[in-house]
Amino acid sequence: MSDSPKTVSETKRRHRLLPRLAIPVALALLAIGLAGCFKVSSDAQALRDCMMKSAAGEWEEEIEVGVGAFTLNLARAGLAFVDLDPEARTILNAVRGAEVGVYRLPKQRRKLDHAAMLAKADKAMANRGWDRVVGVINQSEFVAVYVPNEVRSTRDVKVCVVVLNGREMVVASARSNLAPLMEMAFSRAGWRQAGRSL
Amino acid sequence: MNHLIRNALGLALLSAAISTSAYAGNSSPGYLDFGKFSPPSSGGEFVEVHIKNNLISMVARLAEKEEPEVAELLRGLQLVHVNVIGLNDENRAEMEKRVKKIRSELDAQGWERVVTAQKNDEDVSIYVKTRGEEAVEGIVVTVLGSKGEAVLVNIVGDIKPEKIAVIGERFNIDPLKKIGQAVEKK
Repeated sequence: MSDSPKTVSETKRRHRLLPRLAIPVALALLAIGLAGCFKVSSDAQALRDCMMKSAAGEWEEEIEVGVGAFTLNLARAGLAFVDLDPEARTILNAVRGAEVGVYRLPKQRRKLDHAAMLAKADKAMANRGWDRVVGVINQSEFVAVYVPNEVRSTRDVKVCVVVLNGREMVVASARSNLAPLMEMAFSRAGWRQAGRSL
Repeated sequence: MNHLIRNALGLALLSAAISTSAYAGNSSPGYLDFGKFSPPSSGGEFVEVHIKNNLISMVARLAEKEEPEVAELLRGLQLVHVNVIGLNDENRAEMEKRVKKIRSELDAQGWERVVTAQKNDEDVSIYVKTRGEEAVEGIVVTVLGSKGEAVLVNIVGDIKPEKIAVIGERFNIDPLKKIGQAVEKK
């Protein structure tokens, strides 16, 4: 059985249309991906999700922003012609990517169980190969900082942070080259200031 | 909100500067497992810091140029673990019991108590695990404080006593200064 001439021409047209559509779609996806506009990364997402689950309630997203390598390179290129503070330029050059999400829990009668939230966040992040290096709980405040347990280079260090203040939660993650940041920290005059006490 | 975002990003970068991990701590003679602590359910203070050796050595490499003395001290460290737990009526008795148990374990395991201070409501003990006369393999600080908190610190590594004082002096960190002085006097 042979196809009718109409069906054959439709098939040919589709075959010609597909590559034409695929190229711009692929380019758009690549640009979006490089720009980091796919909101927060999967690690930050896992942290956010387990925090939200532990504090059972209806969380509202206020903002989710991701800045990837492409956007940062564009910013660097644009700011190359601007007279920028050297420290700000150092930071801009060091950061490889950053994401922030801010969420709010509008209705919550029960007090949040920070201890349980911390335990669940630890478990979720440990399953993904992250260790908690700092955990702080004080009244309505909660901070946990995670780093991957397989970091070997100072040039690309990733970190995930969750900060809870009352009913507001911020989940952030950043990738950065540590070397220039540390050099900046060590060379700051305030670092050696006498009288500073910890 | 801006404040929160700034704090979160600041913490992210700061932690990147002081954190990471690969582990050598818990097989070392200077390591002590304090056990798991839970934050007070009434919402009291709870702080836990756990910095392992690959981050420490990373920071040491970065500090090499600007702070060679600090870098040298950091290179010897394998683990820094700090717990601060707020005390209230609900957990005070249990925390006192746990701190006493930790102290008796340290005594039994041959750690040397280099500082014992009891003044008003403050009760401080500092222990060191030495290797020969040259190096300290571990330091444990236990404080039942008058400010209503218990503090437990374990520093593991190959630590030169005089270097502890150096970092305490350089950064004006009082507890490290005291540990340094105590270990040097020993």
